[in-house]
Amino acid sequence: MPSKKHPIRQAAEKPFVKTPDQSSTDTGSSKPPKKKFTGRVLVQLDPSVSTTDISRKAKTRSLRLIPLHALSAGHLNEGLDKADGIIFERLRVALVNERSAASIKQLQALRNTPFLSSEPERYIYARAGARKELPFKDTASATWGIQATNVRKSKFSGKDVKLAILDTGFDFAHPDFMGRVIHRKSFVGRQAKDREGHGTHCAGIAGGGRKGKAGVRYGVAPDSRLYIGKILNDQGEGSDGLALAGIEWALEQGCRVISMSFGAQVQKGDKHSVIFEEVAKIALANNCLLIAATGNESDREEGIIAAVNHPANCPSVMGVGALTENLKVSNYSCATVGRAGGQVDISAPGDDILSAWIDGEHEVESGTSMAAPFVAGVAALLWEEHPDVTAREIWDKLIGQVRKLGLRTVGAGAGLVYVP
Amino acid sequence: MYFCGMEFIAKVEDSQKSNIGEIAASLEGMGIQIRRIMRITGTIFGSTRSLPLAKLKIKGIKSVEQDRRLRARS
Repeated sequence: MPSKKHPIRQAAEKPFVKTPDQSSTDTGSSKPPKKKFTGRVLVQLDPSVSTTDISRKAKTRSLRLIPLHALSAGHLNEGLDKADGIIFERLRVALVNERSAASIKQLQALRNTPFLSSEPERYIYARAGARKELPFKDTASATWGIQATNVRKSKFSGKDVKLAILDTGFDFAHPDFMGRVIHRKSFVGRQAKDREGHGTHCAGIAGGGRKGKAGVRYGVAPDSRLYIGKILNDQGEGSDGLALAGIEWALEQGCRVISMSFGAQVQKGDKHSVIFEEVAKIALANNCLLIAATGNESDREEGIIAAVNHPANCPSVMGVGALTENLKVSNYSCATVGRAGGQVDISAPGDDILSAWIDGEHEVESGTSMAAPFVAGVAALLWEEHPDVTAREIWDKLIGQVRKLGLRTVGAGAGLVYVP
Repeated sequence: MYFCGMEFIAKVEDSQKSNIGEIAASLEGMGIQIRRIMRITGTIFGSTRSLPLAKLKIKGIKSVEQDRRLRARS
């Protein structure tokens, strides 16, 4: 009879904690097979019967059960080779080897038996907890942000969900978006064409798909219906009034999500805008979710934590913080500061994010600007899946299905936006 | 006291949303330039050369705020 390996030792010999290569963070990778049962049997013993009497009873079926204390430390498997089973005296449990499993069943069937119940011994494996500490990396099939948010697991693509991006406009001639009907309106000039790049990048994350026909996937909701509102000029600047005009237009169009990767810095203790809060409530009542970047004014390495920007600091606007490839709060990402300020509600990938760019190009950018459209895209997936719920319910689903990261909520909110 | 002009946003009372056009006209009558009226959200975007924000909180206006500069966040 070949010797059984101790399950923990066997698990250690088959490393299930992945090394930090590309496949470790690509959810499309195959997982190693895991055996469930060892073949040995755990037996619950009657606590009122002594170990001596249990051993005596076992002998009636030619089974030799020995107490654990009779073994040298660390020799459990050897003990199970020499004897038929081991009694854990304090636990009132016996572990019986594979060849004796049938005899134990017979003993269990006897009247007044001290062998009360049995179950197969399971292998136990180290949890892949270290995996989340590993840096995600862009692969040929998906950006690290798409991997980390697990959006490829979703059966939905945001099909026909109206998703507004209020920003610097869009590159409407971008080859990745050929064939898409993209609605537009400019509030800062005649054309909604993006000459800066920021708006195209954000729209690409929320509502884009792949680079080319079969390249890396960088967009969350590729079948959403994009509504591009140019409210920032070609220098990336705008104002409250322009933002409100963009929100009004998006509501007129029946948009379900409005992604806002812009803001204004606030000071610690500043209260949120009463007007934007009321507008956000009106949007929610119109079944539309406002999602905003929390801002980039922190410098954690220097001990500077800046407060969540306006309008992300409004309670009814979902404020999105940024995460690194290690799923840590990005150095620059703003945070909940003091009681009066706004809060980070949720986090999303923000560092080194690849997406579409002007002139048909692609660029890697960092900021909470990149994080907000990830959440907007996942919201679009949820709206497709649950078309009849309220915007408040979509909010609750976004928060309820986050991947918890064990980070402080002041920096990361509820956790990483995620498709479970 | 010299007062330089500024842009503002205003929100009308919920009960006055249907009257937002008349409220904006009243503001225009005060010499205020109205740039945009937004009926779904019940907001007004405008600018004033001479009046402080507190003077804009006429009947039907719930709150007034100075228009803030916004920037892309990356």
